[in-house]
Amino acid sequence: MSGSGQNVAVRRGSGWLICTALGILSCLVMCLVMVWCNIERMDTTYFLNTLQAQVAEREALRDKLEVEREHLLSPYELGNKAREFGMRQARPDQIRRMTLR
Amino acid sequence: MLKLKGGRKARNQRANRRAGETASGLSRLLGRKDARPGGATPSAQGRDWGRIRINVVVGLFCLFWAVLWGRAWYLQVLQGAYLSQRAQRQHMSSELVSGRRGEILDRNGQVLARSVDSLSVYARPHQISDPVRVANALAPVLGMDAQKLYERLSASSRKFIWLARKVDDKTAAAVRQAALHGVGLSKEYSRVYPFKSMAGHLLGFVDMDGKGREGLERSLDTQLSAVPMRQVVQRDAMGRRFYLHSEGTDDPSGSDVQLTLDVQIQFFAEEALSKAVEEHKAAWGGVLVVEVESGDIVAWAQYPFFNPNNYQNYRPAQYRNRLALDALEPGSTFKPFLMAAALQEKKISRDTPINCEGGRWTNSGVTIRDTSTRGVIPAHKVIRYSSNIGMAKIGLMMGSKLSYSYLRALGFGQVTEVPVAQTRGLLRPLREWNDPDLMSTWFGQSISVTGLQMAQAYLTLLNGGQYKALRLVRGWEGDGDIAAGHARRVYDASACRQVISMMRDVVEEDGSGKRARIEGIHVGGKTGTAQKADKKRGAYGDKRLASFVGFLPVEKPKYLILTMVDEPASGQFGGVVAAPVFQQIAVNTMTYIGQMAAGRSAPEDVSGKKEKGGSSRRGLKLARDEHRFSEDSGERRAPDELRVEGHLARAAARVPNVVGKSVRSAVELFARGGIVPVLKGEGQRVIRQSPAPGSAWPEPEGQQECVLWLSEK
Repeated sequence: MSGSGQNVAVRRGSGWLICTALGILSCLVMCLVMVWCNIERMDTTYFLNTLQAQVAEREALRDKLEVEREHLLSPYELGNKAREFGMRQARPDQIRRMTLR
Repeated sequence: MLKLKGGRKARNQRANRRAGETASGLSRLLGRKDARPGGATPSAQGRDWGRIRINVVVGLFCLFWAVLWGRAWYLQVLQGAYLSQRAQRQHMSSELVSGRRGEILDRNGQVLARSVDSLSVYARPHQISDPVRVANALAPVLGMDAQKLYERLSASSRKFIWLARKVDDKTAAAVRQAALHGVGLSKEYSRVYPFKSMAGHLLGFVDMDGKGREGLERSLDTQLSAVPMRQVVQRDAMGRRFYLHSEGTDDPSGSDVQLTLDVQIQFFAEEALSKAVEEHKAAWGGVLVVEVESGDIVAWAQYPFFNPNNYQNYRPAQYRNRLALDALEPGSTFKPFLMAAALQEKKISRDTPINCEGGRWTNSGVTIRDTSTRGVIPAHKVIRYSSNIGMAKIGLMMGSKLSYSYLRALGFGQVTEVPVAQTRGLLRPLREWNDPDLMSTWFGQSISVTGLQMAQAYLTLLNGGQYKALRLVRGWEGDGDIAAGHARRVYDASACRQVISMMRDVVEEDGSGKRARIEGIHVGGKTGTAQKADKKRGAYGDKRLASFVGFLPVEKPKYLILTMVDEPASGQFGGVVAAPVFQQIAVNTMTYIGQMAAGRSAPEDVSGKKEKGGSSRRGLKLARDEHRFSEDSGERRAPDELRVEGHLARAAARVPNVVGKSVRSAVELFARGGIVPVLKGEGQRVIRQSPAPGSAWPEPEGQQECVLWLSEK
């Protein structure tokens, strides 16, 4: 009877130890997961940062190209080009305005 | 039971022995003299040294953990708040972001001014260990003198210096590639004006720090500039920034401003004005084109041009917005306002005879001269022949008080609502007026006005006498209040109609503005040739301000065009110098908006000469070879690869049959023969043609026109 009581006590004691060990292990795992998540987060942040920089760079380039396009389409530039290709301003009676259907 | 007792006894003995060993071990450890070496005592024999060591290690381990936890507690609890604050300072910083300046657009959304990203090169001298190497590497990239750069880097006690502001992309890439420690690139915004000098005086410019310094950039600085915003930025150990949330992607930006200008009409105005100023070797010229119905200013031109992209290369006098800032004596273009006032006050009627004294009249000690030698003429011809004597006499009938009140009501002596820096001009207080002042004011002297004020006053006249504010900025916040505050009637509609009719006669009859005529459209206007005061002599000198204010069509004015050419070396008269500018701008503008019907005359050159070769020239040649904007005045053929298909085809030997063809095909066929046909009728099919098919091509210099009649069917 007392032997079985000792066994129960031992079993109870080892259960507590196992629970503690599992708790510590899960804490450790959780810590590792958190570290991994943080590393991934930073990695993603760097990646996003790089992409953001690329987008900003391309937007800036687009703005500059738009400025260039606006300049090329200015009446002065078009006039110069037209003269270069032998064109001239149409007289009022040479202009027809047609309605698009 | 006995067994149990015996067992307990044995355990007690073992415990006593162990206690003895421990005591002896501790005594040895403590160096007590009574401790016997070599386990001389029986209790010392069989001591468990391994256990002792383990206990010591456990003790040390516990101590270590206690220290560790203690330290953790100290850092986390006692110093936690402070350290957290320090960490926050290191990794998180707030930056003042200035943001992008708003765009300036024309009425059709074409961008007149915009900000683009730009990089500036800076240095942190205290971080540069080898200034010689940095100077040698950077000087050729930045186009600077290496010695001077070295001196700047080595002698500067400041922590931050700019080396070059707003460099081009190529330079920025070279600086980045050089990867010099202590030298970096910082993002800024450059203000770019894609149309270069177009409306440059009006737009103004911003300084290196993006602050508006002249023109609209200055007067609309509050709207255009972005409100600086603080942004929280996370930084890593390398100083790289990470924006939180949407910050960094949503930089603050200023509001866009849409003007009432039309780039195309602006171009017409600038083109015509520049030719006139160059041809007459004038000091400067200005043009304002106003859409009468809305009061919108659609063109604001001034020559010599100013390119705000390179404002550093200009002197203040060259970028002065003279149409708003220079108050000048207007001369005869001022007469219609006072004539309308006299009609309104019933001091005269249209046919009241006015004696112009044969062109010379002395009154109150002042001699007034006319350019013509007319005697008695009806009042309506006083404007047509621009008689100073006639106006002076009507002015004396009106008196100073009435004249002054009308001029104030028209807005003279006050700034207009247009949001640009401007002067009030000079309208002397009523108490200072005497008869000579009154007389000279009536023909546009003794008073100084800006071009903007003149346009404002004419707008009221053309609006049937109802004051209407000029508008330059769409959605300008003051518009509503201004409209409400100035909803005043200055003249009756009938007085305005009479004056408009007189101004029509100036152009359409034998008045001084004949060169402003446009075939097929009734034009009204008034020329002005104002003497300019010679400040050195204190009297009027030889210089003149030639001006013309015109509008069209007379029946329902659509555009008001004010032209000023200051100090022309040749011509001098407003009808000779300024009226042709009006005519050219008016024709081009009416053609552009599609209200110039077929059969109306081609625009003449500002010199008044028709284009050589008639209307249908052989070959699509340059309209004007002497065009000042053309880089090469000589005629050039386009490279074949750039020509469209139609141009590559050879022209038929004789006039082709285009009846039944589409307008486009017919015009292309004629164009190959070097003829631009005149199109008559409505529709997209050719139903008749002249010359007849198979006949010889008309001579390029000949008078025969090629005409295509069109129909819908």
